[in-house]
Formats: sequence, structure tokens, C-alpha cells
Amino acid sequence: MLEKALRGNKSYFAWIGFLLILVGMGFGFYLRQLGFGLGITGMSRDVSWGLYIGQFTFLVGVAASAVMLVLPYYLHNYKVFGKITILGEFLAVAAVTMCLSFIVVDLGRPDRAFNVLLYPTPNSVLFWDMVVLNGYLFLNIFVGWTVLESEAKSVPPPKWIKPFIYLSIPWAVSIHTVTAFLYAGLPGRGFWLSAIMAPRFLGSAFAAGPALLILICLFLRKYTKFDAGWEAIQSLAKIVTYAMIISVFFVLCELFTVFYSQIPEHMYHFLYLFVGLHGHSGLVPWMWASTVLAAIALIIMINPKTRNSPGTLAIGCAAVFFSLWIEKGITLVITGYIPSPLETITEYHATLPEIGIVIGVWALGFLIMSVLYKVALSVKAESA
Amino acid sequence: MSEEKTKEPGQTSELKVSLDPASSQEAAEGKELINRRGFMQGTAGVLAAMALGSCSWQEFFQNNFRRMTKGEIEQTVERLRSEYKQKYGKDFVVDAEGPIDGTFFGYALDIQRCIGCRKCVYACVEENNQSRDPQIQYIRVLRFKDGDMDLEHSTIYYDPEEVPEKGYYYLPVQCQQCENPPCTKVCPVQATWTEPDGIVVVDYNWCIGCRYCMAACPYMGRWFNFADPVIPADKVNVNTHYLGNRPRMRNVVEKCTFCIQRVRKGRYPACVEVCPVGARKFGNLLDPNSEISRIIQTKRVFRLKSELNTQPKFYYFFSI
Repeated sequence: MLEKALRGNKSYFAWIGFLLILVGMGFGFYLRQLGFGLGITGMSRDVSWGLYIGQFTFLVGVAASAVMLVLPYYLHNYKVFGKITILGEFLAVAAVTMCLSFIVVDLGRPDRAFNVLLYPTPNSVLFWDMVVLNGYLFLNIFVGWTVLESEAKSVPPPKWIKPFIYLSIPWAVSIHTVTAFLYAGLPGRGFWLSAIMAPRFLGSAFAAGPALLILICLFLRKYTKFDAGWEAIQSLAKIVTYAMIISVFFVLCELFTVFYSQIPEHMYHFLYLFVGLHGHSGLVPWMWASTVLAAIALIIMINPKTRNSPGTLAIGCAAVFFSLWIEKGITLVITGYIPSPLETITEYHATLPEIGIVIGVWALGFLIMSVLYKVALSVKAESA
Repeated sequence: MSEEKTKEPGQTSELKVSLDPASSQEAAEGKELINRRGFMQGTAGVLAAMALGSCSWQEFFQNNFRRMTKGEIEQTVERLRSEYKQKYGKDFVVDAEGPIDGTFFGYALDIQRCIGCRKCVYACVEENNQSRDPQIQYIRVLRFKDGDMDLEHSTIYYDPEEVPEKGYYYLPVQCQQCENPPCTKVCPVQATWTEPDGIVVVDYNWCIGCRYCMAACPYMGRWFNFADPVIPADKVNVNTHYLGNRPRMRNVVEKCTFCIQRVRKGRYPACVEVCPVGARKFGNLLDPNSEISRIIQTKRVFRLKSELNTQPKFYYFFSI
């Protein structure tokens, strides 16, 4: 089936070529990073995780898009999602691949990455994160591909695939939970030390992933022959709306606890984030951008009129996506380090090579997504 | 690991040959080949080439220290010695000595005596071969105003003509050698652990550089080599321990080891020895008559962030 990705019009190949150039650029920067060390990035002794781990954290959420389609379609027999379930699964494949790539580029010694397998460590959450992410990647490739193959042959999917589909539903919950636990179990980091971290991750994931999927569906509807169906898009939009409301509510819960209790180790991080601390305010513009975007998103998504019109829906979903991209991809990780456990403040500024590598990995993800979507849509066009 | 690597797609046969070195000479030839051709062979090729560019095959396939046999440790130590000889032009001692029976180390710091001179900071840098550029210093000396113990109001950036300064006191912080360490728990590869004598160590050759331990430590006791460590050859300390102050490589984590290379030979850590006011005390917690045990029994002691249940073996105390 993969050969279908090799047939396409000019704009398809231009897009693939463009992505390949970006991937190549990112790879070039990565070679420089390997040759010099992680000092080439903006990370430092005090802020020892940065944009890479941030992107990883956000993209774990995007991978959730799959379960929000798989669950209604397979568990509740919600036929409307039948057409686009494969899009969700393949988006998850691309997102998880990006996650794993961001972990690899963040490793100081990628040549020793196999030590994770050579000396398995059940007491490390990072070890389990590797297990669940690879498992989720496998499940989505396997399920997506098998179902699509059946569709190409115009036969119903084999019965033995069902257990894998059902397994993928709790598995999706596990990737957010385990990723949240990476942060939520560290005694010295007040910003992350919150029991609501895993629910927060789930909330934002179920908003950001489906929001991206809606944007993709709207794009495909406009520029290709593939129509996901307006009802499917509307159902997704409702999922995004509820998830975004829950996500914002969870953040407000955090704010109440830290500011009403006034415990410094927890409160200073939020002060740094929203108003700056001792004259340091590197993330303040980002946080307010995220807040404003979230407000815009809620207004557009809650109001049925704006949610039902493709133009405003696209704006709403973009606002959801970028608001959460800032929240998970930038502020959540970096703010955990500012101030440090000894209450010193070192700001973080991403460097050019670092941003180049980030763009390269995103391009790799879009490349995988584009190729898989090309295959899926070709199969659907032929079998229709 | 070798099997996994050889199965990687996109590698040429030359690379495969070099992955199975029958002799060290062949391995050296393989290294040449990869240096010339490896970079064009996709990610797998590049990663292998990077591994080779910065280390030998023996190093690449080296096991975790705790899983090495005695013979493997001896081989590794020999290899490291020749590496260091090549780099610094000096003969190194690389100990792999185990703990002394019946020892469990503890530390105490008299904050009433400390004058904030930072002699410990620099003695530590020299003893433990810490990188001068980028700068790594295991000890941070925090300065507080009298009457205040809020970390928020403390600073490590003070530069008076003379110490101690009137109206201030000092609190040096380094790895607290916790009995319930959050850092070792999170390591995904078991590259860091607590030795039987209570010292938390890192196997620099097993660390994957994920820096999760740095996120986990509430005392900022861990440091990362963000670039190739630089130590002037005339300053390098040649008396080293595998788990301690042997020269490190870039992109791995390191930390205070109570000067494992000294204390396992019955000596004091460098910071204890250099302290001009005798504020730093070190000894065996299992011996009820040791100085450290007597301090803990008789003085008013506290531990930093004790509410986190990390149970440091590093105590602060008031001598009067």
C-alpha cells in the first residue's frame, strides 16, 4: 500500500520536498549538537530541560486524537467517525514518532540509548514512559494499517484486531498519565508537584489533539476530494469544547491552591509565569498569549453559531492548539526550573540550533503524517 | 548492544565488519572507515560514528560498573589510564576500590563557624577534576542575612573584600548524600546508585545524559557537562577513582562523591581538609564514638529540606 504515497500531484511533491528540506536542516543542526554537546542549546545547569522536552510533552497530548475517535466509533458504534478514525490513528503515529525523536535529540548520549533496554529500571518513570510510548506507536501503526488493508481489499477488518483496538483505548490514557508522572513525583519542584497533573494532561490532550484533527479535516475538505463529513467535524468540535473547558478549569484549580495557600515553593513559579519574579519575566508574554488564546478559543467554541461555521471553527481550533502548545510545549517544563530549588533564577532562551532541531523534528512528524494520510486517502478514494 | 546495532538498516558492509572487531587493530581500522564514510549513512550510521568519534569500541560496549567482572574492571581501568595518559600526558591512578567494611559516611557543617571564604569550593574543583570551562562547582555557598533563613532571600553571588561580612552568615550546599535519594530513583538506566558506604555515585560511562536526576534533586547537587570538560593538564589530579574524580566526558552528569577516592583510603574529603575554620566534619556514622556521631548526638543539628523526606546524611549544626 505504501507505494500509493509515491503517486501524487505537483503540490503534494512540493510539500514533501519542503518538509524534507526542513528535516535535513534540522539534521544538520543535530550533527552540530552531537559534535559540541548540549551546551549548544539554551539549556543550562539551572534549566536542564527546555524546548525539546516541552515539545515532547505537548505531542504526547496530540497523540490523544486517536482515542477520541476510536472510543466513540468502536465502543459506542458511532458510525460518523468511521471515515476519519484512520486519520486519528495515523496522526497519533506521527505525534508519537515526534515524541520519541524529541527524547532522542534531548539525550546527551544517544549512542547509549539502548542502556534503557540493557538495564531495565522499573522504578524510573522515564523507563515506563518509553514502554508506553513505544507500545502506543506500535498499536496505532498495527491497528491503522490492518484496518486500512481490509478497506483496500473491500473486506471487513479481521476479528482478531478487535482486542488490539480495545487495548489502545486505556493505553492512550496511560501515555498521558505516565508522562504527567514524570513531573508530578519530584519532591523539589513545586510547580510540578501536583496531583492534578495527570488529569490536566488528559484534559489538554483531548482538546489539542482533536483540534488539530479538525484543522486537518477542514483543510482536506477544502483542498482535496476527501470530506470527513460535517457531522463528524461537529462532534469533534464538541469534544474539543468540553475538553478545553475542563483543561482551563484544571489550571484554575492549580491557581487557587497555590495562591490561597501562599506556599512559596509552589507560588513563586506561577508568579514568575504570570507577572515575573525579581525582574525576570522571560515567559510572561508567552503565558499571556496562551491565556488570551484560551479565552478566544472558549468564546468561539462555546458559542454554537461560531462553532458551526467552518471559518470561525478553524480560528477556534487554531486558538485551542496554539494556546495549549504554549502551555505544554513551553511554559510547563521551563517554569518548573524557575526559580530553582535553591530559589535562584536563571532564565532560559532557546538558541538558533535548538529551534532548528525542533523545526526539523516537527517537519519529520508532518512528513510521516502526510505520507500516511496520502496512503489512507488514496485507499479510501479507490474503495469508494 | 552489538547485535541491535548490526541489525540497523542503512549501514554498509564496511560498518558491519568494523562492528565485529577480531583484534584491536582491526577495530582501529574500522574506526577509520567510519570516520570517513559513516556520516552519510542515516541516523544509525551517524550515531555509531559519533560513538566511535569520541570513544573506542571497548568503551562503546562497556558494561554498567555494577555488572562488570573483576577482570572487566581491570581492563576498563587500564583503558582509561591510557586514554588519560594520551590526553593529559600523565600517569593516572584509577581506583575501583570497594567500600571499607563497617563504614557508612556522614557529614556535618558548622554554620556558626563557616565564614563564607569558598576555599572548599575551589579545593573541590581541583581535587575532583571539575571542568573549568564550562564551569562546574559542586559546592554553592549561600549567603543569608542574620535573622533570616529564607532561601528566597539568599544569594550565591557575594563578593566582599573580606569575609565574614558583618550581619551575614553562610550556608554551603552540595550533594546531601540522601538516604532516600530522589535522584537515583528516577534514573532510567541505573547509571547512578548508592554505594554500601552511603555514597551516591554515577557511572559516567553508562549515563545516557537525560538529566532526569537533575530535575529530581531538590538541592541542585548534580551537574551536567554541557560541552567537553576543560581541565588544564598541569592542574589535573591524577589520583582518581572510577566512581569519583576521574576525568569525565561531555553530555554526562556528575556530582559530589564525598571524595570517594580519598575517603575509601581513610582520608578526609578535600573540602573538610581545606576548611580554615574547621567548620566541616566528616566520619563514620556506624561508629558511635566518631566525631560525626558525637555531633549528631550532642549538638543542635538540622537537615536541609528535611520535610521532603530525602533523609540527607549531610547535617548542619550550631557549635555553641
